[in-house]
Amino acid sequence: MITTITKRKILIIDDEPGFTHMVRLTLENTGFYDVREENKPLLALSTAHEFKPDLIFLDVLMPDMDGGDVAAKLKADPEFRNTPVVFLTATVPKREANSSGGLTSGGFLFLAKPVGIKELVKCIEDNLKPAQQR
Amino acid sequence: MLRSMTEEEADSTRTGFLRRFSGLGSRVRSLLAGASCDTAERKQAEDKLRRTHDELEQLIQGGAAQLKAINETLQSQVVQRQRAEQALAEERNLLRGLIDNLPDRIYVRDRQCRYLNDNIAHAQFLGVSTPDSVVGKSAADFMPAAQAEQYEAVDRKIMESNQPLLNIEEVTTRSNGTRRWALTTKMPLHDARGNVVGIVGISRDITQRKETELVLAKQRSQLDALMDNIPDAIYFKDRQSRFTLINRAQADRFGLADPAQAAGKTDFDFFSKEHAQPAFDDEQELIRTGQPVVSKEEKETWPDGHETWVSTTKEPLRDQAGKIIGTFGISRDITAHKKSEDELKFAYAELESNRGKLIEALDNLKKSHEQLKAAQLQLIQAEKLQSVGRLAAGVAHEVKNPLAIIMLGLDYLASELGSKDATTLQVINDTQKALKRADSIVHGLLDFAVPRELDLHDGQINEVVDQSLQLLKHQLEMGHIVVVRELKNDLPMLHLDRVKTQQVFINLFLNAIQAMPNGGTLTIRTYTKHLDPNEARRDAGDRSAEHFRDGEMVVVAEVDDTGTGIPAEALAKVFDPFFTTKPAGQGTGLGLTVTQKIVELHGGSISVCNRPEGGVRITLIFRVRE
Repeated sequence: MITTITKRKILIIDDEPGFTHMVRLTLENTGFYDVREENKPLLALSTAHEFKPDLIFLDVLMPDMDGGDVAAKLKADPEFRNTPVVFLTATVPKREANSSGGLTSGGFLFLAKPVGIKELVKCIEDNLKPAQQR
Repeated sequence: MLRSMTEEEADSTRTGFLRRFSGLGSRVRSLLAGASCDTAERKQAEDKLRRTHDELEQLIQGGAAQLKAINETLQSQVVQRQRAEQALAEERNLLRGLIDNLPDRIYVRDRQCRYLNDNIAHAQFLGVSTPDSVVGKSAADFMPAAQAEQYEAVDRKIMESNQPLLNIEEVTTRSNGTRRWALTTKMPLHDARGNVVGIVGISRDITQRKETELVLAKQRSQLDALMDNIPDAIYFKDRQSRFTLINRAQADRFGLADPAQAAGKTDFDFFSKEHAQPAFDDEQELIRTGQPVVSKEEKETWPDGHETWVSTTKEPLRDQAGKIIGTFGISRDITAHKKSEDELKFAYAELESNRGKLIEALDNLKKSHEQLKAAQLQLIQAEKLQSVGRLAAGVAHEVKNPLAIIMLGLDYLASELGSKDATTLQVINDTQKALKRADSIVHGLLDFAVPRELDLHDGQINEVVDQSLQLLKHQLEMGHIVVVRELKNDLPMLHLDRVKTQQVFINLFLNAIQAMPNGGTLTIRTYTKHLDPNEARRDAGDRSAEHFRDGEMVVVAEVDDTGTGIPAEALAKVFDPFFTTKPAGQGTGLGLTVTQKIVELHGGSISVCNRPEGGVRITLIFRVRE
């Protein structure tokens, strides 16, 4: 019996195209993820509506709109209220991210840049139920 | 005795004789003429002739005798005359010699003021060699016309008045410009009839005397000026200490209009006995011993009760034979000086009494200065750190994004290529390690740069120490480090951010491990103490910590290693950002900077020193929660 694995849809919102491209490349290279890049925070919500991601990686410091505002809009949207949003930020040291268990004071998850593929995958898998269970 | 015949008498004798002899001749001639007449007549004539002859013979004999007498008289007279002339000549020579050898100038001038005679001294004075060279000439031939005219005017006055001029002082300017003085007496010269025919002058050179007088006069003038103007009192006294001379200043002090009024008086006439007696005693002792009194400070007490102070020097006054004939002295009024000295002494005594306070004030000032200096240094350091911090934050943030791309890129490459080629996988692994190192540096920068609020809770420092040791257990074992815990029980609770305090100890322990590459002992010691004033003051300028107070209870944590220590020149820099003594790649140079920052955020302090027995001691002081 052939089991078809449904790829998880990951949206990465970051104003740094080089980074979003590399996230897409490495995650898609695992064969388990379908990744969409968005480099303009103002378009983040519409892209999310269009892509319907299972998990969103979100940069914090961005021009036009920072990650906090984008997260607030997503959480305000019923469609994404339950979609995990993980901040990927260069402003917090890894040690703090680890010692706080990856939670910000607002209850958001976050990872400290730079982050490797293993951390990304672990984060995704820890925060999503298995695809089959969805 | 033969009388000397006058010239007239001799002439008369001679004339008579010649007259008689002349008549005899004419008679002889007439006898000779009649001889040719006859014999009688001839005989008669012969008789007559014989008689005439006899008469003649008699006459001749008589005349010869007369002539002889005359001749003898004349010869006698000639001899006398010759003797007189010789005596005269001798007298003249004597006189000439006398006046020529006289040092005084002697000269005779006629009515036209021409020189008739002079002596050698005068000739030499006029600049010629012999007195004869002067005769017939006038003064103008030897000296300036004006000078000559002056002389001649005096001469004419004498001749006109027929009165001598006695002992007048004349000054002559020589052609070479030198001046000569002479003491001159001039008198009129008379002929046999008493007529004034010129003058006779005698001048004595008194130049040396005059010059001496001038020098003396000058010295006298200087002495007078000194005596009249010097503000110090000068006085001369005889052997009985009676004033013989005082100067103007002394007269003023005595209230005398004229210094001469002091003559014959003593100190007892002007001062009270309190001063006069010791002054008298000093002088008598000086006269007895010849020992001077030098710069003696004397208090003078006056009859009206007021007091003055003088500095006195007294010397013996001696005559030419060296015998002490009195004393002389000079006194300088030092009353104002003494007053100032007294005031100074008083001020000094006051100063001395205030010295302790001053020293204390100075000490406080010094301490304040040191505190200010420390505060200033820390402010500068804080400014520097803030600037560096802002820069570091910017750099860290900007570097992290590319690091993130590289990290994911390496993961991608590893998954794509790692399984195919071991070398490629090794290169990727090495690159990932380098990336992690860069990442840790960036983390350090962020730790240093981002001032965060502390999450403070009550806590025990010993617990944080133990947790930190636990986290580093593996590294400690690998490094063959023996851990000695000297943690005091029942330490007071502290306000701690547990995570950040843990970071502090981890940093310190990691440093210690790296300082002991061949193993060693890590000692952690905790205890409480009360700060002494020096320790409290040391941190008084701290910018972030609240100031420790003298005697305040604190918790101390000491971390000792047994490594090689820190070079003395590096000790002051260990908290500077990016300063490290570790080999390249082993330290970011931010560990102690961040550690210090965290400790200071807790209101504590951190210091580092080399231990005398070797290794480094880090001392942390935390304020006890109130």
